Amino acid sequence: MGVIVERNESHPSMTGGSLDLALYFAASPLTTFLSAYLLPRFMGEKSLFIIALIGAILGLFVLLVLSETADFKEITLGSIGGEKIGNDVKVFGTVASMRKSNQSIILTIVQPEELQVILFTGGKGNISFQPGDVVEVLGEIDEFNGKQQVFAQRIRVVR
Amino acid sequence: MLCMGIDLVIAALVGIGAGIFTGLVPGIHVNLVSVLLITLSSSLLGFASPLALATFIISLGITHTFLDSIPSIFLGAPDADMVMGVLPGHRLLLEGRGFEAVKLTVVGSFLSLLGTLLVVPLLIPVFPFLHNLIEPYLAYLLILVILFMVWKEKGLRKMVWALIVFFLSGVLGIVTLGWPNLNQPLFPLLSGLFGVSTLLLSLQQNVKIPPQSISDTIKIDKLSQTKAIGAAMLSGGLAGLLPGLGSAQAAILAMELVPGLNMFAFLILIGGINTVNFAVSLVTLYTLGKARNGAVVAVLELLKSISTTQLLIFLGTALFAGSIATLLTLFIAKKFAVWMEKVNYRKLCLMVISFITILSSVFDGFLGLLILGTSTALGLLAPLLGIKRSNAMGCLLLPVILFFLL
Repeated sequence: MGVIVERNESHPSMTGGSLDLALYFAASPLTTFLSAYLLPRFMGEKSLFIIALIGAILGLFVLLVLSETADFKEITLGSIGGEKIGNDVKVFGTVASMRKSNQSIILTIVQPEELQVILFTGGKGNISFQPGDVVEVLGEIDEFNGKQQVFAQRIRVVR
Repeated sequence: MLCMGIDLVIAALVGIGAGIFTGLVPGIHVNLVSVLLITLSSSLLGFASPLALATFIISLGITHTFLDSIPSIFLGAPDADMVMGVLPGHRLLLEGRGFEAVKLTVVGSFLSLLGTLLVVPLLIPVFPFLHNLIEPYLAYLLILVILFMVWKEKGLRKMVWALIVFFLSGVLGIVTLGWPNLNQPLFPLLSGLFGVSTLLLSLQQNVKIPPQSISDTIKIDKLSQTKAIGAAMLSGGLAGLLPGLGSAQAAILAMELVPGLNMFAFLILIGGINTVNFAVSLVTLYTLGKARNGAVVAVLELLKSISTTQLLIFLGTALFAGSIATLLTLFIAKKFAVWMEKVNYRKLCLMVISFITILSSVFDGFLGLLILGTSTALGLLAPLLGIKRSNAMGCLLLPVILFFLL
């Protein structure tokens, strides 16, 4: 159970700053038009049902396809200070040391700089890492005692 | 000592004010404000103690659970905790009893809060035991509840459609909640499934809001009321104790496990669940050191752990804020009821749909709109098929089941 955090480059702004602004202001009158003027054309429940079913399946399909490309942004330990608390990021590194408790594992990984990665194990005792393991960590940046660290959602041993 | 007391009262009052704002404005949640508070905490701690800031958050959270029924019922724009209240609330609004619907949720919130505060001394010693006992089996309980929910549909055709809607919304929930870096995944997901779809159907059916009555008498028998309050305390308590179980999922559990609740009792239940959830999450923080919602995470960030004295302060704050929020909610709901008669409901629906659309695009851009559109389309299916809307709760139930099973 480990997490590699990568920022999804395609989100939240998929189109760029000024286009986003245009999107915000276009979205509202567009939906108003769709709701107010198109809906009465499809007043029948059968037509509305067909449109809703097609829309739901199509929308789900598009989301599933897009989710395949949704990814975390890879960062280096040196650049972690530029990331905001709560951002999702991906970090590669080598395990330098490991501390284990009932509920968590704290890894120190080097890249060559050190980073604390905290993995909550929920009491599962069969998760272990060795110094020298190269790991890919997906997680969320947090701060503790003024130092940045990553709360891991998933860690994969690369080699 | 006196200064600290005044400090806390002021914090609680400011929290009530903030809770009115977050409760009434769709899309603004307690978690948003809590995260903002933590971001600004280094400056705020210059003139307020960590305990005062935590008191502000508690007061805000409790007040929010009272006020959020108003946009849900009058505007059809629920937040995550009130989704199950949209349909019965909307139904009462169309009968000219929108105020009564809000009053029922307020009764549920306040009486459930009182009941929960009374049993806190019993909860503290048993919570660790209950947590370890229930958590391993929660996924199976939820699966049974879902199967029961589907089985209760009338006819094989509706059962099949109920399963389809459940799984489609479940897939949507998994994709949305698992997407990296979405700012507010729940907002377009739940607004589309339960809010915008309801408003679109109102437009399609050319619904007109009748004059709203401001009644002072609630016609509900004591047994139904007691069952609803008890169910709210039980299911809201489970939501406050266990990870991954929110108020909306708890409402599904209560609905299926406590049969025979009429629409009025159901609104009392819905109102009670999210208030109890919040209050019990404080006890969970004290006994297990775990946070179950964004607001309590913020409290944990500020205080690191809470003592018995601090727990008592927070529970006292919950009672204080809940009492004031009861009066405020009824006052504001009366104003809304009068206002609803004057407003053009069609235009109001369009404004709310536009507002939700704009917020979805502000929060998450194109993806927010795509999720909103897909969830709206899915949300239309259940009422058009004549099956229960709660089948669309697959969006939260399926991710929770997988969370516990995998």
